[in-house]
Amino acid sequence: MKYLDEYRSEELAQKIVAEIHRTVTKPWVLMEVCGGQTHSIVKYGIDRLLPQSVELVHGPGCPVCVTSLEMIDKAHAIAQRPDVIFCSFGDMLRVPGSHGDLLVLKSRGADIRIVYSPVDCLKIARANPDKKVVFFAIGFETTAPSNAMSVWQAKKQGVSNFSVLVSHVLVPPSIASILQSPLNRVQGFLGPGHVCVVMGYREYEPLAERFRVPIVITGFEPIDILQGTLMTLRQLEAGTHTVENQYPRVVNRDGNKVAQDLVNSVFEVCDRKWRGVGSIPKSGYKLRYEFHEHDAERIFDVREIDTAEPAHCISGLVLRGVKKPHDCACFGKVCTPETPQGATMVSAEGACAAYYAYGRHLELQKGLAEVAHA
Amino acid sequence: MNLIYAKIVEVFIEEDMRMGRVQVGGAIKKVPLDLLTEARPGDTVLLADGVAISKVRPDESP
Ligand code: SF4
Repeated sequence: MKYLDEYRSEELAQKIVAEIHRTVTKPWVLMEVCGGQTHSIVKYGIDRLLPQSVELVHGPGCPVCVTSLEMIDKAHAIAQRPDVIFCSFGDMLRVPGSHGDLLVLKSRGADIRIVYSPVDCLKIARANPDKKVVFFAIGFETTAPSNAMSVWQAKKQGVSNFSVLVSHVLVPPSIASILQSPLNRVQGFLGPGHVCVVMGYREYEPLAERFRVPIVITGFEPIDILQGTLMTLRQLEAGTHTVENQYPRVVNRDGNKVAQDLVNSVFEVCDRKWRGVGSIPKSGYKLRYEFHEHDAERIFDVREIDTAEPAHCISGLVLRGVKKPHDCACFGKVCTPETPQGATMVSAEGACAAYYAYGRHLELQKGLAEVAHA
Repeated sequence: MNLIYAKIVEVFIEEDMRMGRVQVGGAIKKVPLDLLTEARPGDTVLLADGVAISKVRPDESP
């Protein structure tokens, strides 16, 4: 398909890889922000094509992974109610809360439905006037327009039995939080391509300047990621720190203003807790007061819930690029996609799940066996 | 989250909204085009969770 095949060309990939090897003279640590990029990197083995001195660490940009345990538990509390039809994207169903997941609740009879778009929930709400239809509105800035559109339309069309449980997160504050951490090793970023489709990349410019890090807004295909990596490495080698756009086929500096206006009219910025990371100031969206009739947290009064994370899961460190999945003692043993202990093992965009899907746990076992035999 | 490219086949108005019939692989879907005021039939767009959020610029290639 056009826009896909040309970004998977092996010949072009080899040329860029050769150019990367010619460019690099020092060790560098780069972070790809998005879970979709992580998935491509592990799927195509891109990290293994790079010089050994270049390390790619995986960022916080998997929306399913960073949705806080409190929010997951609130979702479960709402979904269990007999008067509720709970709608969600499919990959949220297996995310472990404090007591099981949505799939378990569904098997016990809760009306939980997988939807492709939040806008589809309005149809469900109209068809079930005696039920309360709730959509689990999670995600980064990319998902915000469709979620905002569903709430906007519900208000405009008077669909009063539709509400959203909002757990939106924003990328720039999470990048700032990573760079401010004393544990930080990241020197350059492959920026979030799809987030910038909506938001543009103006807000990354002060970050690049303040922390003196290059940020290259990057796409999701192998050629995109290799080009983004090359552009970031060129800046690091030259000692520059600007924002560049590798993904101009869908991203421009200003983003989609119509979408931003819609998002800003429905949501406002708030502090947000990230799973495994903790609270980051001004890092999320919540509904504006004008839309409080569609706010599931208010309607169902599930504001205070005590939660407990499994102590052995280091997904918080994985999401900040401090550790990799194979640094976790549970990886591929007690923690697999069938028995996920933490959120980064659930979503296909989670680093632990991507490492597992492409067999890196087997290499680990093989490596250990070789050490044992040596 | 669902992100896919789609080609616009038809643009129409429904319940005050600008909608499009788009081709995704072999399937035809109905999606809101409200956020892309200039999109027209023949354009390729990026859909995020069933809503078109960007027109793909045809002149860009790697
Ligand atoms: S492998 Fe499992 S337990 Fe370990 S960090 Fe990843 S999700 Fe958590």
